[in-house]
Amino acid sequence: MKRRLRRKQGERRYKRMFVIVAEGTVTEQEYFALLNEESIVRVKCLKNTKNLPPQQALKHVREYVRKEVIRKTIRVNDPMTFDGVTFYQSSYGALPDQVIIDVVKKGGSVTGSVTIPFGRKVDIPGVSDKVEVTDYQENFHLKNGEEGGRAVGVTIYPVKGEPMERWLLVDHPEYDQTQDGNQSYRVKDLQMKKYTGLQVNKDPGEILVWLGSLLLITGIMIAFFLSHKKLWISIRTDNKEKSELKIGGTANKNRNAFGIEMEQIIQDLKEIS
Amino acid sequence: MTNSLLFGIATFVYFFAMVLYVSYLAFRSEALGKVASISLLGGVVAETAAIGMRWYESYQMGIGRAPLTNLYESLAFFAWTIAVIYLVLERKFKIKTVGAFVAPFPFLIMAYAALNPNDIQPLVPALKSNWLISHVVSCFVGYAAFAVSFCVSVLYFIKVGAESRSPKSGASFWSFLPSSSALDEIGYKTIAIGFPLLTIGIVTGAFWANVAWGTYWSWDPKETWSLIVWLIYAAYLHARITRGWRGKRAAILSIVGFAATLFCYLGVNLILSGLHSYGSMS
Repeated sequence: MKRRLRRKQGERRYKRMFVIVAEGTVTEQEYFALLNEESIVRVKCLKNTKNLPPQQALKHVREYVRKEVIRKTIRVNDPMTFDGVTFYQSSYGALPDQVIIDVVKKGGSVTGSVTIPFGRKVDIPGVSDKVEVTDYQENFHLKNGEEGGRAVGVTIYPVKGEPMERWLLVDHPEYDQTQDGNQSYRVKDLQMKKYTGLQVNKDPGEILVWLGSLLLITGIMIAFFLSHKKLWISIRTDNKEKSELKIGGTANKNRNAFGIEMEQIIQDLKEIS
Repeated sequence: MTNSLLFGIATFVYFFAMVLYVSYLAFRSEALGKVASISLLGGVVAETAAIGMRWYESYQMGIGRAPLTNLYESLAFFAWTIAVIYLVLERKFKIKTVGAFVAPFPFLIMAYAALNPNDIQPLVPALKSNWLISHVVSCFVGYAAFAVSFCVSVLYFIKVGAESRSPKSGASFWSFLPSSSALDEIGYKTIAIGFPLLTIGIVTGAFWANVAWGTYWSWDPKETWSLIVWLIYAAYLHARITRGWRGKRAAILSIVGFAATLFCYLGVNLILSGLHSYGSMS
């Protein structure tokens, strides 16, 4: 399973990375020599966080680590940040750990069976081809639209020619017989192993995303709810010592409400005079 | 459970509010109108108590979570917000006759919610976050504002038709409705409330996703559809403010926007699967 660890981008100075860690295993150094020259991170996928014996887990980790700097159980919604790098539990699921496949000759007689650990090429008995388990689907969709259930994706490497990929349906063993070729395969036994998917991000620009979103929202608020209001007042005194007051106003938005506001202002002024 | 009882009472009161608003339309008596508004308010109060009680009871059960996490709870909250937004608009714009068309929604939504399982289940780990409340509340208040705007836009079409048939006489059957220009204005106001809230809902959702999974946006069906809804209403507001779209064209956009909102809310949950699959019928 450790072979399946994969790196999406970059070398040591990566930005984003996705790692799959199988239950009970610890990631290898090469994938986590990431933080900087001095620090590495090792991640252990816990079997069951509720019934975890902490001493045991700690001992397991210490075998690999010289000096522990930080230790934290990462769960969804509860990531760990260290030295600007954040680790998220972004997914979980199960992958086939070991698959036993029966080789079936045309006519239906089983000529042998082969045990395939995940991610390893194994010889097919009776022929010189090799087979590897490369994929798995919990709910396989058949071409005719029906549900196929669990399906193991295998790649067959013939001695000559291109590798071939085919799907073996766990719950419909006869499915592979419809394929061409002298022999078909069917899944005899399937052992699953749980894994957790870790998203590893270095995202120093997160604050900018925050600021941008804040700007977007305040901008929308200003556009809809703040209106540009103008108010003119002119006072004129004529020869007879009488004053005349003129009020005008306009708003670029929500004029009805502004009208009511203006009425109120005029009313107040009338009361004063 | 006390909360189920209170939700039942709220549904019942919403039903009465609906009947009273329709009667107000028929008899146009001040007193009847007042009772209609009070009964809708009563329904809101009962439902507020129900939501609060459900929250409290979840703590008593040792689960302790906001009541906003499955189809039943989201429908109940949707009904509540529609009633609240309508009551605010009624007070502000004096549009009691519109009530006969809006008040059925809280009742119908509550009745539909009652068909769904309503037991309090523990939260899946992905939803255990402080972001839950701000994300869900802002989205749903936005949805509810769009729902009210939809009702008003439909009424706008009815009213415009009536006005063009009998331009001057006030004797038309639809004369009880506010003028078409007032309906147009109210439709715009509700969208102007809903749009910033939907924006906040999408932004809080993105930040929550970043905390939970390390990505802001994963093109999950719900995310895609919320973007479609956002773009439709952005087009509505943009067309109205910069191009002066009013009346029929604006009302059509508002109706299309609400159709997309409904699909984003229910269609995605019931038909498609994804990160938001909490709301499925099963």
